[in-house]
Amino acid sequence: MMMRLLLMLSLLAHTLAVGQAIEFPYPPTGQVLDAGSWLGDERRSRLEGALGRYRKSYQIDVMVVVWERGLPPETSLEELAERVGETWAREPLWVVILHIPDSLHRPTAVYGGSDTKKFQEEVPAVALHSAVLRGMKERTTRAQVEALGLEAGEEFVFLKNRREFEHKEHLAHQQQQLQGPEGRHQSMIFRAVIATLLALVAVGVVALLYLRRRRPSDLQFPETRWRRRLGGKWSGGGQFVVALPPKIS
Amino acid sequence: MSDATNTKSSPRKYSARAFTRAPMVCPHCQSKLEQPEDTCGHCDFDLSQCTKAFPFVAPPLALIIDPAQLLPEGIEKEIRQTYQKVRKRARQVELSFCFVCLQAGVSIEEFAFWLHNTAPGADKARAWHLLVVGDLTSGRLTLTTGYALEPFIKPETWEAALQELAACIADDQWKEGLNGFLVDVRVLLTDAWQTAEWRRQKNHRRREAPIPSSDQPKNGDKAQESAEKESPEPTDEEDPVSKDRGRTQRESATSS
Repeated sequence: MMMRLLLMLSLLAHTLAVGQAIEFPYPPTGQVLDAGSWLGDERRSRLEGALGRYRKSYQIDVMVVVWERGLPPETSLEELAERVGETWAREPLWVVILHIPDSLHRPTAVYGGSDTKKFQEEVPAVALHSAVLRGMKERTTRAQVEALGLEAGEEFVFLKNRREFEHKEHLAHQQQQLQGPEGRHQSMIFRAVIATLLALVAVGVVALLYLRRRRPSDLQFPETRWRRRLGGKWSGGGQFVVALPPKIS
Repeated sequence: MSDATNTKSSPRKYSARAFTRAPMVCPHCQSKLEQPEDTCGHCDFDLSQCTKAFPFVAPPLALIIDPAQLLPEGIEKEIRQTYQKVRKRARQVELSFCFVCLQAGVSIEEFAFWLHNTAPGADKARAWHLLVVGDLTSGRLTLTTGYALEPFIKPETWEAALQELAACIADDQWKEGLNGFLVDVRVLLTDAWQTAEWRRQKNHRRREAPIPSSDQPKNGDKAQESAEKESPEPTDEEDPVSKDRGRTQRESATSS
């Protein structure tokens, strides 16, 4: 029993020792961590510019990490990169390009962050894979690391843009579907009102024309034999007389 | 209602009795004249007596005759538009308003009779003239029509229109009164024309109906004369136009 306990403690102690072996440096202020200037100033500044733009414009944190502290025991490069990303990432979508100089490991790229859930499961992986395929075509490792950072950034920018576009389209489509019946209803009301108004105007015009035609003009009375009398050549005098009513004061 | 636009009447001359049964009255003694006579059978009145009674030159028949300046200024301009509508409706008919202050005891009927017949510039149109004369001394108004228009004037409706004019004049509402009267005239002339047309057409239908052979006269001229004599005399039953349409039609005409 004691032996078992000792064995478990020794295993736990080993794990703790391994965990404590990963010493994280301070996170980089920019996008590149290269304390030993392995990448070179020119390449580093190019990377800082491009990756900083990705972060600023698209909220994608692409970090290029040149790890000079050695790989902790029983830890893969991908695991280390993931831990780096989870620890240092400042955006909901991040990509880490990690390389340990003077090692037999090839540069590695991993992605993560809460925004990855917004994509379909395999889409970010495919994007990263194609970025790796392109980036690894470079001849030198430094160029490969630089290319990986840039390619991964571009791929994820494209991915994000496409997702936003699809989201907008989807929303627009949804909105159309939601507002469709109401819109059609309003349109029908509008058309009905217009048709009614036109009909009323037409009826009004017809009525006016009809009334105008009905209104008599230039009436010609028939000629009669005049009843000339009392020596009057044109008139025989008045037929009736009315009195002015008294003034109301 | 038949088509009333651009109607041309028959060229044939009708007997006045085909359209009216209104009596002829002597302007002097107001007695009825049974037949058109040169002098009144009761008082021997005729135009020459009138001429002696009014020994001055009559003014020409304008729309407004106002020698004593009794009417407000610019009244003619204010009623001109309504007058034009009357003229447009019945171009045969002309109209004049004459307002004077006659001496006390002078008959307005005689004055109107004299003015209608002796006013200068008379031609055939004078027989279609409608003259309204007002005497502010006696406070009376009279309407005189020419011989041609006389058969189509229905005294009761025209008298109502004249009474409305008199009421307005009594209130010094000259413009409203004259314009209202002109609207009445337009409506009444339309009614008169409709009645006349109805009677004329009815007369034609009767004439076109086959006449029994025994009644057929031999001479053509005599046939026309007998037709004239047999022309239908108007009765109140035959009148297609309601008696009391004056006011309502005036209102509708005003709104139109």
